[in-house]
This record gives sequence, C-alpha cells and structure tokens, in this order.
Amino acid sequence: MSNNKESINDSVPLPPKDAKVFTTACDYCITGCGYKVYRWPVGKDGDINKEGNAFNTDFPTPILSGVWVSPNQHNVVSVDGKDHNVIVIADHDAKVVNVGGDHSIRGGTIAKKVYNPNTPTKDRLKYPMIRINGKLERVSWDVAIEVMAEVSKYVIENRGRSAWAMKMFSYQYWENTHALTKLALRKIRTPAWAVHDQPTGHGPDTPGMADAGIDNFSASYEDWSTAEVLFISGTDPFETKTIIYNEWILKGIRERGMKVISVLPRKTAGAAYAEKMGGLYLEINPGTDTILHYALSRIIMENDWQDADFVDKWINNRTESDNEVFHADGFSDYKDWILSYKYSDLDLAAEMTGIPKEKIIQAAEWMAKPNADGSRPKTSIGFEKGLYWSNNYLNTATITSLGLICGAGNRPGQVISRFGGHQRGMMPGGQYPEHDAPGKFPGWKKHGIDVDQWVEDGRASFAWVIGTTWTHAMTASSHLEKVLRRMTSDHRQQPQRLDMEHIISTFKKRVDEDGMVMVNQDIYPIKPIGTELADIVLPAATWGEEDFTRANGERRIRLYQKFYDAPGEALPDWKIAAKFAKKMGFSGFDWETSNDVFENAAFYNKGRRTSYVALVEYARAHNKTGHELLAELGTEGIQAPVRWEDGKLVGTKRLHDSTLKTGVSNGLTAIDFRWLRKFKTSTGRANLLKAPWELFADYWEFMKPKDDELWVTTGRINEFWQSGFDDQVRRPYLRARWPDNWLEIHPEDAKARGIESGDQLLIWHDQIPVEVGGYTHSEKDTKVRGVVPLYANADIDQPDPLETLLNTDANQYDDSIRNLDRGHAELEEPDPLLQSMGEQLGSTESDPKEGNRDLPSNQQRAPLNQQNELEDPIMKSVESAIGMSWNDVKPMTFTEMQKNGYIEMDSASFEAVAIVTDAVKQGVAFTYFNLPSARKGSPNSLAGRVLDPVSQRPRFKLSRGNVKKVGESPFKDSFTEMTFKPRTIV
Amino acid sequence: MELDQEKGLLPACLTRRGFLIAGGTVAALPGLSSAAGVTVSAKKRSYPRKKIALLSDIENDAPVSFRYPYDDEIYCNSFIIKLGSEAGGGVGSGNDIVAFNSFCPHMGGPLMGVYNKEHKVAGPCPLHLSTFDLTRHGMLISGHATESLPQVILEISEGTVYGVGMMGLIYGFNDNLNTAGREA
Repeated sequence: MSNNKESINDSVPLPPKDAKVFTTACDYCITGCGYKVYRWPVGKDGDINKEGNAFNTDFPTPILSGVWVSPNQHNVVSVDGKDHNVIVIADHDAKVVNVGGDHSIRGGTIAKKVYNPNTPTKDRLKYPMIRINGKLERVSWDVAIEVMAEVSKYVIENRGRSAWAMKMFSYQYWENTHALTKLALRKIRTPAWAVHDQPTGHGPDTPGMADAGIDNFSASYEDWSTAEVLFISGTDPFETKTIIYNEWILKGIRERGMKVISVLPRKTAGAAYAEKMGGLYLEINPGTDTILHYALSRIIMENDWQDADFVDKWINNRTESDNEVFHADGFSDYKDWILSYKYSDLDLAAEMTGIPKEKIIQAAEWMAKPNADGSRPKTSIGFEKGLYWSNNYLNTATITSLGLICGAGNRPGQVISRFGGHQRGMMPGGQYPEHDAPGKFPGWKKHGIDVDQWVEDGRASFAWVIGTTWTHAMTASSHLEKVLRRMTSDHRQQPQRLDMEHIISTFKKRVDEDGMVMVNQDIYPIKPIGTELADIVLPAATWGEEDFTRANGERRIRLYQKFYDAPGEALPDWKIAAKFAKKMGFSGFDWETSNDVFENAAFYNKGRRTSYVALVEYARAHNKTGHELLAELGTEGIQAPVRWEDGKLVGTKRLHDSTLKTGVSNGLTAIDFRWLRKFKTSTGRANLLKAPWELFADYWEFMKPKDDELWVTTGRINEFWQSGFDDQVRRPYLRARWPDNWLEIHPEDAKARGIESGDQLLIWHDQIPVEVGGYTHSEKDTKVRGVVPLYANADIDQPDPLETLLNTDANQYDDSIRNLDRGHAELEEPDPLLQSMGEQLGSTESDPKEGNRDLPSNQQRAPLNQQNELEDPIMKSVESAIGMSWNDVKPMTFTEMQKNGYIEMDSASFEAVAIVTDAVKQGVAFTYFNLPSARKGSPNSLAGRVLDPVSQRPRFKLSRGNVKKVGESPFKDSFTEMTFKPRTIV
Repeated sequence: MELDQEKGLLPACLTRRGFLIAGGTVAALPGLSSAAGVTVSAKKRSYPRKKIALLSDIENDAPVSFRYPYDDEIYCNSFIIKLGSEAGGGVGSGNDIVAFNSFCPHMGGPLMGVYNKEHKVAGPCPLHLSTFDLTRHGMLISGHATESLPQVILEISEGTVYGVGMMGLIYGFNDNLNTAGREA
C-alpha cells in the first residue's frame, strides 16, 4: 500500500461518481448509527464539483451537509490484492437513528479501524499460532484445529463436558455468536460458558425488569425524545451512546422542553447540559440507587401521585405466583411495604445517597405529580451499567417498580428500558444447559457456573476465549490473571517443538496435571491473554471483512456489509467454529456463507425479541436471501420482531406497546406475540417488586470507603469503544487525547492529598473481597452453597443429588417462573416449537441419561422452605418482603460467605494520571474501566469479586481505594498529549 | 508480533495531529516549539503568507476575526486570540497568541462567540456541544469532532502577525489548498 495518505492531515481524496457504495452500521456502541462506505481504486479520485464526486455535492460543503469528510474518515484497504481508497462516513441520508449523518467520535473515526499495514493496525493477527517454548509459532489452520479437537475430545472424555469452557463476546455479530453457541451449548453442552462481562452465561442481565415483566430493550429511540420527564440512571448517553443523546434526548430537551433527571456520581457533559436546560442532576453515592428509588416511590405514593388508571389496568392486583419471591401482592401490598419500610425514609435517603432532600422531592414531583388540569406528566426511565453493575437485582427491581407507579412501561414516551452498552449481537444456537450446572439458588432457580471460580477450582481443562480480554475485563482482575497464568503459561507442561503429536500429548499431560489449555481467538494480540497466556492463538476477521447482521438498542436489524479483505488467513468466527465442529464430528455446521448461518439461526430465534424469521420467510417468497433483503433495506434496516403483514414487512417500534395495531398476517410466522402489546408475564400485567436492601446492606457497608479512602468507580468515556483495543491504542489522534489511564478526583480530595491535574497517582487497596471455592464438591459446598456434583462431569457417576432433593409437588409447570427468563438479555427459555424446528435443523447429540433436557428449568425448582427465625430483625424484614425463609437466603449474604470461608482478601493497585475536577462529587473518584494502555495495573483489579446473590451478576462499579501522588506524568505540561480542561463546559 | 504497549505503536516524533510529514515541502517552524520540547511540524505546500493583525491590536481574551487562507470563503472564518498563558503553537513574547478556524470539525457548527475565557476553550458548539482546548492545539476536550480545531500557523514580523499555514482540514473542504481556481 504505497499510497496511504494517512499522514496528511489537511486533505482527503473524494470518491468519484462510480465509487462503490456499501451500507453498514457502526461497529461500536448500542446506538448503531447507519454508515456508508465509499470505495474506489487508488488513483481514481473524484473532484470537488458535484458532477465529479459520489456525494453529488460541491465542496466546500455546507454546515450539516453530512458529507464533509475529515482525514480520520479515510483509509486505504486491500481488495483482491489491489489498493482501494475508502471513505467511511455516517449516512447523510439516514432518517432513523443518526438522522442526517450525525456521528460520534468513535464511529466518526471508524475508517481507521480497517486493516492497513501502514497504520497502527499493522499488528492484526493474520495466522493461527501455537506457543512453543513460550513463543508463538505460525501453524496452518488444519494443525491448529486438529490440536484443539484432539485435546477437546480428551478433556470431554476424561473430565466431562463441563471441563470444556468457552468465554466469548456476546455481541460481535449474529452469525458468529450463533455458530459459537451452537457449538458450545447445543453440541458440546457445556455449562462452563460465559460472556465477556459476566462470570456466568445464565440468567438475565437486568433481572428486576425481567421479574416485573418488562423486556429490557422495549423502547424505541423516539421515546427518549417524546417523554416529558426522562429519568436517566447510571449513564450519561452523551458519553456512551452519543447519538441517542444528540439526535433524540437533545431534541426532546430543545424542542419539547423535556426535563431530564440525571442520576450519576459524576457530572458529564450531557448531564451538565440537561441541568442547564432546566433538568436535575442527582449526585448519587455509588451503590445507593435502591435507597433513592424507595424514597421516590414513597413520596409518590404518600401523595397519591401514582398513575391510578395504569396501576388498575396494568399491574397484577395479586401475587402472580405464590412461588415467586419478590412479587408484591398487588399495588396496595407494595405501597404498604414501602410506606412502612425503614429504608424508604427521606432523611435516611438523603444521608445515604448524598442527594439533598429538596432534589429528591423535586424529582418525585416531576415524575408523577398530576398537572393542575388533572393530566399526568409523561415519564420515561432509562438506565445502564452504573445502575445495574453496582447492585444488580435490587437496583433493577426498584427502578422498574418506580417507573411502573409513574405509569411508564408500555406507551409512546412512557417506557422503561435499558439504554444499552454494545449492540445486540447474541443469536443463541443453543440453550444454557442449566441442568448440568452444579449450583442452585436457595428455594428457586439454578445457578450458572461462575467460570472464573470454576477455573480457579481446577474444574476447567480447556478454555476457548473469543474476543475478550477476560483477565482485565472481570472483577478482581489481578487475582484472575494470577489464576489463569498458573493454569497455562506457568504450568510445567509446555510444548517444546513444532510437532503435532508432541503438542497434543503435552497438552493432554497438562490436562492430567490439573492445568488448562487455552485458545485465544481475536483480531489483535491481546495482552496478556493472547501474548503471554494462550497456547493457541487464532486470527479472526471482523467488521467490514464479512457480511454480518445485528440489532441495535431499538432492535433495528441491519446488514454490515463486507467491503474489503481480512488480513492474512484471518477468518470470521463462524467459520472457525464450523471448522472445529466438523473436526469434532458434529452435524449442523455445513454453512457456505454467512447468510446460510443467518437464515439457519432465524428459526432458533423465533419468538425472541430480535425475531426475524418473517424476514427470511418473506425473502424466500421473493427469491432473495435474507442478507440480500437486508442489503436493500440499507442503513434503515427493520426493527424486530419483524412482522409480515398486509403484504409487507413491518418493523416493531416498541414492545409491550398498548397502542400497537397489527394487520393481517402473511406467511407462517406468527406476528401476534402477546408481549407486543402486553407485559411479559403470564397475565400480561406487570409485577411490582419488594426487593429488600438487607440483601445488599452488608456488602455495601464493607465496600464503603473508610478513613482516607475514596470510592473508585469506573465507567466509559465518549472517545473510546470498550477496552480501547481499536481506538485508544490504534488511532493516533485518540491516543494523543488520552495517552494513558486517568483518575478524576474532586478538588477538595485532591487538595488534601497535594494532587494537581497531570500528577501521576497510585490507587490501591489491600482488602479486595474475592469469592473463591464452591466447586470443590465438598460437603460444605453442597450444604452452604447449594453446589452439587454434576452429570456433566464424567467423574460423577451417581444420580444428581439435587434431583433426589426435589419435592415432586413443587415440580408443576409454572408459567410465571418461565417468564423470569424472558427478559434475558442473551438467551431465553426454550420454545417447544423452536425445539422441534431445531431437530430438523440439526439435532442435538443426545444423551440418554438426560432425556428431559428440553423441559423448562423450573421443573427442578426446590420447594419453598417456610421455617422462621423470628428473633432476627433482618430476617423478619426480608421474609415479609420476599416470602422466603431467612435461613434460605442467609448463606448468600456477604457476611455469611465470609464466615463460611468463601471470601479471600486480595490486594491490588493501578496508576493513573490525575484530573482534578468538580465533575466528580467529593469522596468519589472516577477512572476508565479497562484500557490496554494502562500498563501499571487495571482498575477492575480493585472491584470485589462478590456476585449479586440473586442474579450472579458482578458489581464492577463498587470499589474503593487509597490515592496518592507518586510523581508527575509527562502530560502535565505537554501541549500535544492529553488535556485537563473540564468536560462540562456547556 | 506482540503489540508493544509500553512504547505504543506511534512514532516517537508524533506531533499533535498524529500527522507525519509526507509530500510537499516540509518546514519545521521554530515558533512552534512547545514547552514539552516537541516541535510541531506542519506540511507547508503553498499556504499563503497573509497579514492577520497588528500585535498591538490583540488583547487578552478578545477574539479577533479574520479569514485564512481565502478571503472569499465563509468556512475560512478564523479567530486570533491572546490567551494570557502559554499555548501550543503560541507566538508573541508569552507564546500565548494562537489562531483557529471557527467551524466545528464535527458537522460545521459555528464557534464564533462561544469562547470560554476562564478555561481558554472554544465551545461548546451550538449544534452538539463539542469543546476544544486552545492551549493544546485545539484538541477536542469533549464531544464528537474527529480532529482538533484546525489551527492557523502564525509568525510575527515587526509587530505584525501573519498566517503562514494550517494544521488540520477546514470544515467543508476536502483539501485546504484545493482552490478550484480560487486565489488565496
């Protein structure tokens, strides 16, 4: 590529009239903006007259033209071995999502993502490699796959299916996730499977919403614009889903006077602007959202401001199921509980949350107080990880109940939804084999395997890691890294020569000696997992290198078109999965194109939020492939569930939409899912949830900063995507903006420590709680943790003790329990129809021992235990809220886990550059969660690895640390790298 | 093979825009030495040397408008400002006089009249709230622009400030010097 003009910053070539145009969407955040790629051979540029360029525009172009191209939007790629210019810009013709071609800095620089050996993308993985004597050596695909298959067979035969683990991204395109999960969950059927940001692959991300009966991506972006009051918690969309803010929230604020209430410990530009425009900023202390929600709900109900009509019509007026733990027995039960609950007290809320009482009252008034004419404010609630990654179950349950009493959840401009992080790219090819997972919650559902702990307890012998850093991405990350290192690169069994038989036998010996063989499949050499730990490294193809599909945060499906060739021998993940599956002898992987996978997956995906089987049916009826039809739909795509009605394909704007009208169905695909118009419960009405603070209180008290400590909470920033592997590391402009990790610290906290902006800081703690053990199959594990030996473990021969414990009376099929899983972000409960289709599409390798595999999970639910210990006040409160014995719940609390020896204390530290700013509240410091350039420790290392006892979700946002200055960073007085100006100038 | 994250992938001589010197005539401009000792180099093809203002007319925190490099093109609207503290690319005795284009390199929002005196910041852009650090070569502070605010390279001669080049592509243009016959 001789003519790479990357380096020239005051000009870009223009596409000629005959440039080839591809449609795609941004690879990054949930928003999923529509983009166009213009591609033409190098040397055949267009000119500045509209007759001479593909934009049909005279240059200079006017303000908001949407076709101005900055130097960071150009690159040179290889197509069939020839150099081509590409311009990648937001689609200026877009009428949806990023209307008129608006874009963030992330998507705005995405042209720099594509592989170009003259840029910092030059280190893309290009060939399969195996580590010999500590050094990665190039091998052929055949050798790499054969070694993996041989070792896998050995592991499954000798140590059981559950010793074969997969840790994968949940979002990087449907074709890939479908193939990978079909392999891991449907064929191998391992319960040792987890996605990039969770230790387990089981259960919903926002379980409180699921229990209430609300799909967590029910809203349409338009709803963020048409609400009158928008309560945003745990995120500033300006920073992390920029165009949802720019094109929807901002319009609501500017054109409709929408009032935004931002609940965050850190004020960023979007929150600051919303406040300036008449909104509220609630400066919450980390982890106290549940307390705020109680207080708001109490004020609303004490004043009778709840939406009575909505409550009458849409809230279950009695407990939907006697077996359900947190469901209120109708509105009055919920009201009585909140009004008499000590944690709903306003003074207490002000003290714990750190938000002034007046602001809490103001927020409650805005959200629910009827207007003078009796009309009600249209209130919507949107949230993200600051909320549900600090206190998962309680925060999601209480915010949903708060929204429901305000009348939100099922109407235009009145919704309750996640905003989202990454796009919705999980397309399950199998169901999580929860029967084979050894743990269960007291009284109700099965646990998924916590893969981090599983590895630590020596239960995993083979791990395939796809598109995630694993070590740095999880809580207590330095602890995890030590474990992984011990199991792989520090293990005594290491291949010594590039000989396949020798490699295979060495890996088998490692398995026998309780080590683990690890495969890392990614687009870059990721440190340390790919560069130091993995035995086998596989090169993946990515965005722009294959035709892929995926949905965004309003369920909008688009085709992400291939527009250039992947480097070297890199292959899309679905092809790698298929190669391996065929080597293992599995059927159902005979796909030739990514469209084959897409169409195949449609039938598995039937009845889910992203259902597009109607699209495939329609396409076939019109002699097109699914991908071809999506290509015609361009950047607009279509919102799922897709319906074929009245002769045309129709998208679904929002879920649970009581105003929705559907037409006459064509084809065989159902278009009338109940939850299109009603909530996802057995009655179609939503549940209010009595989720008690006591389940979390001890952990929060433990993590609360003491003495000189500060909260060290983590999050994202506008300029990067995820761990920065694409942009922060490999885009010179963004690297100059953010050359290293940083810590935002309040001026008072900085002053007390003699810290100025630009100083180098050390942040550390030596009491980081790490949940360990539980999978050693000791008697204690069974009694205290509910962990039992496994069918899936070949070393276990006797009947499943859990099964023998089951009370058959409690095994009745219960639809309400099934509904628990319907809000699941990734994988949902089996659909009997799906199962039957699945049999035709590629049958499960059957295991006669487990004949009832397809039955719903609740059939293994244990009976409720009604013992009481009335002396314990915490127990009384919890029992009254959830109708469960405190004895059942108690072992899950942090205090009891500590007593029972399931918590170790670790110490860790990281360094960061100080940014002194009053954007963070006093007592709270903020840092980026995971940057590859942060070479002196990872912020996630300070986050405790103690999972939410109800949902097994991590609490990434809760860490605390000591902070001191250790020097000055080179950026303090630089004019070229980093800036310390406030980000809240609005 | 491995990504060298210690040293990074960027060349040691990286200048503020990450641009290297390629094509055209290259000049390292002595007036652009920054406090950190990094010399910011700019590609000079044939940017005009153009009188902008008299040094004596430039007051602290009072932006003065001019056009560069072309007088007849609205997107060449620029401003020169004395920040009162040393700045990347700054000229004058305090190295604090800088000049920038006035259109946001996100979607072309006009940045006239949105100078923040306290922080020496241009913005927020009235369209989508981007802000730019005028002490650090117009680097994006917060927002969406995919490059820094284009900076006019200045020189002083006998009490007069001259524009002699641009760093960064001006909004609306595909090439700062593709004039289509226009005379600078």
